[in-house]
Amino acid sequence: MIQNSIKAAIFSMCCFFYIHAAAQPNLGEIHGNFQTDVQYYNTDTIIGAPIVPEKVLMNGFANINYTRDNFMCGVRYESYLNALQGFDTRYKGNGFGFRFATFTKDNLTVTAGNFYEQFGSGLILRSFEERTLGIDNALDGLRLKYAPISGIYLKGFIAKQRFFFGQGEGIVRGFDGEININELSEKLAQAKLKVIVGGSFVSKYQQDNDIVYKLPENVGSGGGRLKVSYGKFTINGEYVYKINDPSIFNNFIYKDGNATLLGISYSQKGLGINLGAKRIDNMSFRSDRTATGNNLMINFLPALTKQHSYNLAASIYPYASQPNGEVSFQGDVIYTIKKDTWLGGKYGTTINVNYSEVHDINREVVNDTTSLLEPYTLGYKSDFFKIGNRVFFKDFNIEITRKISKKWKTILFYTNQVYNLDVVQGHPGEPMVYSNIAVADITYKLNASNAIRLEVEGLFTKQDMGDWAALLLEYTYAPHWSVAVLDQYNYGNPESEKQIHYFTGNITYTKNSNRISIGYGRQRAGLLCIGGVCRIVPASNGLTLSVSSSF
Amino acid sequence: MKKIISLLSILVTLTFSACDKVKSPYNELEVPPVDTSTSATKVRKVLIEDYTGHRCPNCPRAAEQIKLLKQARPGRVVAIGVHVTNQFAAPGSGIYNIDFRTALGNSLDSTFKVSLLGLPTGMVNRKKVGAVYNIPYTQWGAYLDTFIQKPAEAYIKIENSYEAATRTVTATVTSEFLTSLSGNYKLSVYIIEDSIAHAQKDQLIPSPSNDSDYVHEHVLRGSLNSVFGEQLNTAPVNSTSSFTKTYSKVLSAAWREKKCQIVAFIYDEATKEVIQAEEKEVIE
Repeated sequence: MIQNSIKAAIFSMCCFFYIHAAAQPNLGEIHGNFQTDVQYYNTDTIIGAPIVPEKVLMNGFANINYTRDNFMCGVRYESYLNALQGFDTRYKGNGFGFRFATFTKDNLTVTAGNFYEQFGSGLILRSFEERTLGIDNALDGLRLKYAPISGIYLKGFIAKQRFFFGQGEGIVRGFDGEININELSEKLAQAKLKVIVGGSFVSKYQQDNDIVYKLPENVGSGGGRLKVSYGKFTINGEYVYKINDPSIFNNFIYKDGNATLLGISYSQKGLGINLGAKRIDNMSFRSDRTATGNNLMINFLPALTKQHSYNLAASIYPYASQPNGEVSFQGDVIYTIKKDTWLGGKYGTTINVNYSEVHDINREVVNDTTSLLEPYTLGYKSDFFKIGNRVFFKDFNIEITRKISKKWKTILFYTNQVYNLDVVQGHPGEPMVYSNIAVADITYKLNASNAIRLEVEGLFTKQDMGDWAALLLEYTYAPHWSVAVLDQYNYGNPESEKQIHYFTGNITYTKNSNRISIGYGRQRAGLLCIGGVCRIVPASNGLTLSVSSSF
Repeated sequence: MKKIISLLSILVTLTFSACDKVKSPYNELEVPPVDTSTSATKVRKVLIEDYTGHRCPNCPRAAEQIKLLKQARPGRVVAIGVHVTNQFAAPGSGIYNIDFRTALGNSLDSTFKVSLLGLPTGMVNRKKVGAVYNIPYTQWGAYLDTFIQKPAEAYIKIENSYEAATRTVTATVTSEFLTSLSGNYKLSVYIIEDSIAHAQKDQLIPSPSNDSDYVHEHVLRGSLNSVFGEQLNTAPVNSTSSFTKTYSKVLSAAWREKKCQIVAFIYDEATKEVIQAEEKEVIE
């Protein structure tokens, strides 16, 4: 970490000298943002909150970036004293988690230091930061981007990945080329048919130090993608293939992997239709074969299911993508009934219907003497066009949004879900959960700056923890103040001592780019998922303070 | 455009051809010949502590790894299975109605924070790697090889006697230093039990993933001289330094004395790193 701090200090000095060496008057601009989350933890044996010896924990960061013309450099200082509960404890202490410099000259962009990158939809490479999940798989090395002519974009890099305040063992190499046909000439730019075609290659190197098995040191992955739009229709497709990559995540099997993503959409005023299909087969791709959790991920496998925002639907049974294999389908229709009609009302009514279904892929034994997924074998065979019998997740949901008058707005939401606890949360033997969730979200606007919002939710199931109810009451005094109280109550838990209220209260003050939020209450243990990637959140009870700012 | 396509083709060909496609057999295990010379008896043995739980579906993989490492480096691995956490090791319903957890294991886990990052995981000679002690089971082999390449700095001899009437084992442990060392060293003596047939969750078995015929090896049962053992020296040691300690323990009625072993290891008090380990059956 000390070495990192020295590097960042030298880096900041380089930025400083660059600023001073620059001729007046263009001194460039400095921008930044800051956030800290602090929590005081109470002992709460009823919800099983772990004891926190420090009592107070804190996560914080500040980004400082300098920009002048085609040059930009910056650092991010991070502080974990110590990391909040639920975050990996290897985020510990202070340090510079990110530092970079980049410039563009004659269509060539050079980046030295840390950078985030994505090829296509991310199936082959996505380096990103998701602070709420504790994910930062930033690359650290050199990257070149080149646009030789309009419409052709080339990218290449060689880098290591961030691993807390250090770096992962593996080296990642990537190359991506994309041609936007319509940008090649002015004539093509006018065409109704729009085509973008791209291809990527990503490989990783990690030394084989296993004394028992032969492990591949160089693992390569290649893929292609195509996006075609014609009028109101768009078709998107991507396919990637990866050679043998035995890892702790796939049980050390030597089977090659692949992933396919296909989407079709239609859009016109008042109507949007999206259909999607996805197949993942052994596609966990990390720069260290022993990495666990959300660490050192090279690629990103998005969930093809609706990302719910209502409390119970988002937090009790959220779906997480299964990198070892899944087939999923999703259909989503959003339709707005015209205003000033009998059905649409005075302001119009929007109806969103969504259905998704996720299954395991087809898996068959490779031979009579090898069991399914047996480590240090090919693991299994899979027919691309067959769907496995095991259901991972099903979700039918409908959301109706209607503004009744200038003062009243309502959203009614219902979802019916099937959730495989065994697979998604790793609880073998647990039964499948069949649940219904209903939500009424009502907003009453008292005047231009005062509004009250009430969210009433119910989750009904005979399995797992049984029924839940949730009530959220939020008062907003625009533009600065917001007060909210939330209670989640597991009134249907089959174990009476677990019929617990999870009550929280929150006050938020916002002024320009400053935001201060203070909360107090209980946090239920569970999964927090964003885009199909999840982290385990332990139960906690206490006072939280969150401050963010930018300039 | 042609130039770009040619350049792309060359790049893709070069990068794909640089990949390592491994063909079966994947096992490259070569068991080294056993060195029977006198000096080879005082070799460095390595303590691997496998943090596990009978309701942890991935944990059998770590246990299999220990079996393979014992085959690959015969006589060099001393293993302990430490069952920890409520989530994976607390007694469950039906066939999981047993508790392999111990106060000793819980103390070790709370000191070394091994299970914090999930199971299975473990420690190799209690070596601290960066800020943590836990090492993924897939890396145990690499650390094992790093340790056994170093000459032994100490040698442990265990002599056990067992009194059936009182179910008492008495272990006499001689710790002999083979070189000059300036640190303070402690001796820990534990008891483990092998071959316990009891259910285990196993991800490789279709849901509900129960392996009712599973055999648990080297299950940690307790200590003969507290969690962190007894001090051996307070002054520097050299090749003439030798310490003999005797400890007794009454075996619980549930433990089968013929399957129990005494495990002893010497570690540096400051770094906690183990420099030598040994094991011996309670009844030979």
